[in-house]
Amino acid sequence: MASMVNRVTSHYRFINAQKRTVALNQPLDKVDEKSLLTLATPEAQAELKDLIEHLLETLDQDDPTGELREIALLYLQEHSASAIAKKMRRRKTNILQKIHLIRLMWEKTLAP
Amino acid sequence: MNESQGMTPPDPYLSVDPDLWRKVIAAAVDYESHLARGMTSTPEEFAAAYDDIPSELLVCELHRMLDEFRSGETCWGGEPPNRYSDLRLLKSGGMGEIYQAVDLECNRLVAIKKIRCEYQEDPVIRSRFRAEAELTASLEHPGVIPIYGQGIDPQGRDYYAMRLIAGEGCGAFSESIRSFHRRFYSGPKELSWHLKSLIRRLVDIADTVAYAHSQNVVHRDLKPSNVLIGPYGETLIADWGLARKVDQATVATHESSHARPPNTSADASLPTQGVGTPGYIAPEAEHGPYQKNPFAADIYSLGAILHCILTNRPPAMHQEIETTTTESIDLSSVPAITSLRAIANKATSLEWTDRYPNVESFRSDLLCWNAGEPVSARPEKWWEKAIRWPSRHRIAATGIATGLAICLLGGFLFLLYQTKQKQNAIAQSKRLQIALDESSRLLGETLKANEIAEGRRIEAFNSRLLAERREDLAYDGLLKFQKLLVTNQEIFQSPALAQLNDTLASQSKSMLLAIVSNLQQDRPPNPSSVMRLGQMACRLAYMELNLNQPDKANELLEQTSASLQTLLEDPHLPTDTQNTMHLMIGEMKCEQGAIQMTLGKLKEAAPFFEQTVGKLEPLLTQEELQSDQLHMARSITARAWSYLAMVETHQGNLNQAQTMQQKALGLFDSEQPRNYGEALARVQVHGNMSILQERSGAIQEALDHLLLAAEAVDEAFGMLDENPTGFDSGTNSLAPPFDLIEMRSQIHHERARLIIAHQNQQSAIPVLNELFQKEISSLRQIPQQIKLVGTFQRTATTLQLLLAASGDQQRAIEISDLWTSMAEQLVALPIASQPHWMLLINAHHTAGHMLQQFHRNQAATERYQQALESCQEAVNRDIRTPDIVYQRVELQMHLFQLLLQEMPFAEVEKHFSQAAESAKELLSLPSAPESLKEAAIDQLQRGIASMRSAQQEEAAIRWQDQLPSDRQNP
Repeated sequence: MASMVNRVTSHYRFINAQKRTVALNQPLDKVDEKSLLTLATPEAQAELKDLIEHLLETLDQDDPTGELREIALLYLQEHSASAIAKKMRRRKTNILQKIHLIRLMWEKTLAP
Repeated sequence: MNESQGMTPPDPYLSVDPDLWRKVIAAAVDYESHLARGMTSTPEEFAAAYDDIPSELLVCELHRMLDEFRSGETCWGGEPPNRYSDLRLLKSGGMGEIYQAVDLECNRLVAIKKIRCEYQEDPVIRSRFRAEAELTASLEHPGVIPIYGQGIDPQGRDYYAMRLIAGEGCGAFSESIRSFHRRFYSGPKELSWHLKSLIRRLVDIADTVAYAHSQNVVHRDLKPSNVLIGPYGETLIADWGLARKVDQATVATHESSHARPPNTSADASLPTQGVGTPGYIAPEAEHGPYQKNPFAADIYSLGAILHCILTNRPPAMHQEIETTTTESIDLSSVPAITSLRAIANKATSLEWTDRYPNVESFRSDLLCWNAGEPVSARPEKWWEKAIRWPSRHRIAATGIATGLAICLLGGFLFLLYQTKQKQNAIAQSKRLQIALDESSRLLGETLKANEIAEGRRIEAFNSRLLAERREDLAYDGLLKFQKLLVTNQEIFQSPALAQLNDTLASQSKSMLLAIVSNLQQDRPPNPSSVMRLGQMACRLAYMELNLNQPDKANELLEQTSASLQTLLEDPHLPTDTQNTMHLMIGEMKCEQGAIQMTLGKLKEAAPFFEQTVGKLEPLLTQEELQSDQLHMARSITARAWSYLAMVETHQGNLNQAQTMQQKALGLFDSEQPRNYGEALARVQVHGNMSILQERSGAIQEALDHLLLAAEAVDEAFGMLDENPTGFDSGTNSLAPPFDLIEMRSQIHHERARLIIAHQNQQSAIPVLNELFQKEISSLRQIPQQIKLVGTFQRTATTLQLLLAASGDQQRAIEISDLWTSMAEQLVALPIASQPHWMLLINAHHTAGHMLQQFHRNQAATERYQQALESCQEAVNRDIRTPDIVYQRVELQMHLFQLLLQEMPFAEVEKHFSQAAESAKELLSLPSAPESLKEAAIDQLQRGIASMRSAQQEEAAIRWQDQLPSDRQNP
């Protein structure tokens, strides 16, 4: 499952690198979750969608405000911690700690 | 994601339980709010409160939080949505809008430039907007408006904040230019001053542009409205919206005007055509596809601004600008305005290669113009250089100007001085002429005795002196008059002068009184005036004395000294004036005593001398006394002592007299006399001493003193050589030259007398011979001196007699011949008078006697004949005095008696008859003294007696009958 997470991350990075020049100045709050799956095969898309949905749900369980979910999505879209902090109006240290929390939670969820 | 990876906690973190990590996050948030409240706990201290979290984990995270907090970064990297409030639109431009806003964070007014709403979504405009902000922020210069920050406002519009240029005195440069042209100026000076202040601003603009160029930034839109004047007078370039960065390597220079197309690093895609404001844009920027040297466009714009300053509009390149009418002021009165125009023309040349190579050279030309120096845009003409030269070489110019001024002033002063000198010389020559005229007139007057007798002129002269109260002139006049009297002694014998005496005395007295009153008005009295008063009184007294008026002389001196004594009562007199007064009183008292002595009133004289001594002896010990006054005081005191000694001698108190004389001698502290007065005093003291010694029987001592006296006389004569009449030598004595001559003669004769009486005749001859020689030389100097003629005659006679008696015939005849030749020389002079003729007659007469004594009758006869001829000559010259007439009687009688034994009586008798005729003439003269008349009769009687002894009884009886009846019996 961990390798799965890494694959998903790598894939998003690739897509975002393509888009970056175009969407460089687009506001962060306009990130579309659906765009994440545009280039995958239908099976992979379905698989990934389920997985992501599962993982995001674990975050929602822990944080009903949805803050963790937003951080996770932005992070996956290749936004830096500074950019996320700026967007969320939080301290960068705080964002980094929360990213680490997400990582810990997901690893726990995906642990065999 | 490099950033996030780099910040990922280290491996130990991976094993942390998520719940524990949540606690860490919560603790970190607590710590942040703890710090935000101003607390200063360290992470270690803070972590101690959380014992359920591993401290190393928590401390590490807290440190992260602390570092971020301390770094000052905002929590989220952007401004709070409400950092700027109260936005107010100031100005709307092509790309953006400018607002005035309050910066809540720093609590200040700022200007905010926001991109216009319609361009918000245009990526090109947005990019250019951001580039403008970044480029402006990159320029750190006082001439560039500082950028405080940039960002995106809550509405998503790009903006940047900068310094707000607002307030009193702020505004665009275009406004300044406009008001410059609309202003009223009182004169070219004020106009020039305002123009220069605008040029200084342009220099500031050029300064900023030069800085931008150094950063490879071109503005591309320089115009007066883009230049702002700050509240403190600073000049700021705004609106860098069209600015761009230039690649320096692609820029063409003046040296290599061909270059590859430049490449702008900031926005290569931006259009390069038509960028800027018409009128201020360089022609190549307007038309060309690209610019070989984009910096030259800015130089053009600067030139255009200068053009605008000068004409109130940019250079006319467009029709609409040409047709625009703006009122511009006439600047032709501003100095060197053509140079400024040349700068503008050069900067706005159509070909960029003709412009300035860089902004610095443009700027330096402006500075040169402002400083009044020549500019590179317009070569200076020679006459302009010449006019400018003094201001550039201040020191040299000042030096030359000062030199010229000094020369002029010096020349002027020299001319003034010369004129003054000339005037002085003229005045002096006039004064001299006046003095000369006065003296010559006086001389003429005195010589013409009849005119003097009338006395009108002298009276007028004296009265004028009095009227003018000119002390100096009076004194000079007196001196001259006295000089005349002294050198023409016969005037004293003139009866006419005796008649004048009363007038003279009263005039003199009032003259003295005038001087005294002058002195009284003079506060404090001038010592030299006092001195002059005393001297004048003494001289007037001397004149009175010579006119046989001793009482008047005495009275004059008494009055003058009394006046001085009155003046002396003033307690505030300076010491030197007091001393002079004492000195003068002492001298006058001494002279009074001397007058009494002359009259033989010894007893009356003594108190005067005692007064003199009493006045002057205290002075001798005074230290303030000037040396010449001291010598004068000593001389006078010595004379007074000597006179007193004489009085004592006459009374027979020889010892007392001796003591006094010693006192007098003791006052002469030097070997030689210092001045004329002292020499005279010495003569007197030594002469008196010799009398005293002779009385005491000490003949040798008497002779010694006489010798000393003779030496002193010689000294006095020596002093007179420089000043023959002795009147200006500062002396005041009653012994001017003819007295001195008499003194000399007297002393030598006295010596001779003593030698003859106590030694032998032979020894006296050298003494008299010496005197004889001296008197001959004196006679040559002052032949008109009658006293000298008298003394010379006496000396010659005595010497001749002595020589004859000692048997030295040859020497005696020599002396006689010298005497005769001297007398002949004297009568040949125009001033020859009766005494001179008498000298000649006596020379022959005495020679005749001497030759008769030597039994050389023939020669004697000749001399008698010569004497008679001289008598005749004198008579022919209208000198017919009783003396001469008597001489004829005597000489004829000598001839008669001499020839009686040798020749027949008939031939000799004519001499007797001539003698008788002359005797008759003498008896008929009213002025002839009785003694002379008797002597003449006596001569005739002797002749008759001789006739009888020669057996010529008949003739004797005949002549006896012809003698005057009352004198028939001898």
